[in-house]
Amino acid sequence: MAQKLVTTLKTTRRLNNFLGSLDHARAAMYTTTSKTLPENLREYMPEHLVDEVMALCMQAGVLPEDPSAVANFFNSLKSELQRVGVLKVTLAFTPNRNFVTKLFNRAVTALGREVFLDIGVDKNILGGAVFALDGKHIDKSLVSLIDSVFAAGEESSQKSPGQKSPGQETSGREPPSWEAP
Amino acid sequence: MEYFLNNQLNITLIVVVLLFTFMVFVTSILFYKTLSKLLTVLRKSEDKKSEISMKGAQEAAIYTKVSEIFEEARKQSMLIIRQSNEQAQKLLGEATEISSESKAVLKSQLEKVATSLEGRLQSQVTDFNQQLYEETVETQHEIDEKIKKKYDEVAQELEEHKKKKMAELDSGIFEILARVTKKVLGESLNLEQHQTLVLNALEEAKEEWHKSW
Repeated sequence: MAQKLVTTLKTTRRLNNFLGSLDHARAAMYTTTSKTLPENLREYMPEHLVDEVMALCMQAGVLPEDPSAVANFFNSLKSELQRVGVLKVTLAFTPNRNFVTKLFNRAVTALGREVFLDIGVDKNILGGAVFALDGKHIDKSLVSLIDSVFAAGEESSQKSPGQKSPGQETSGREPPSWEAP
Repeated sequence: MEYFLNNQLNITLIVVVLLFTFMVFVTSILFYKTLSKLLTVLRKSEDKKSEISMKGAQEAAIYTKVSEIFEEARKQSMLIIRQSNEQAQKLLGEATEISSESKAVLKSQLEKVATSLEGRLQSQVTDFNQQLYEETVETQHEIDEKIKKKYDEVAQELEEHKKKKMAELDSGIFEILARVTKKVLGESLNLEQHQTLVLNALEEAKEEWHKSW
């Protein structure tokens, strides 16, 4: 039901804003009886989200004039959205909207399921990204790569001078596919 | 050798002096005997003087006689002394002759002794040289061994120190390189490169996720 919403929202920040907006709109239904549901929703969220929510209402057969039915629908929508997994991504730069969209699409394709992106920024990682999903932590940052490369070099230098470490047998390590162009 | 010659000469001189002393002694005895005779005559003359107190005429004769006796005694003494001197000179000459012979004998003996001593000394010097050479060679060998041992120890310590320092240096170099790389990469990556890195990282992470699922 909420697949389209997930695609629209993409990030946990927007999700949280959306969920907050839903709560405000639900509360407003009981206090401001003169406004319709779309009018109430427009007070708290952008137009395209209002359209999507209204479309979902219609799809679910919920009458916008019935506040209790709308409230139940909002609750079920919230529950469904909160069940969607969260991919925590730490970047070295602040991403723009286009990159977030691209990253979201790649993440969904890669994982084969809907996820929200929880994007954080830490310049100390220099580049690349650190991912966390379902308790699994994968560090693909540039700082981690540099540390591992130089740690391997240091270890090999501490061995006998003529002895090569296994990673140095050919031309060194396999260059990662995401290495800087 | 000079010392021995001087000693021989001294002995000869001592003998001569002793002989001369002996001659003087003999001369003194003779002189004493003469004086005894003189005193006897004087005593007799005194007796005669007392017996013949008034015989003044004879007194002059007596004194004349005494004077003669004195003169005779003196002459004899002088004669004895001269003879003694002659004897001493003669003995001294003989002693000089003996000294020359002794010199020759002594020289010969000394030469023999010197030759013998020289031979022994030469032999001992040769032995000493040989022993000294052997000890020197042995000492040199020991010193060489010690130097080699010390050199090996120092070389080993140096090698260990070198390895340690190289390891520290390597560690420092890698640390510096890592720091420089981080700084350079962190500052040189543009937005597009950052984005490419992230998308590539996601592809790598995808493989790990699929492996873990």
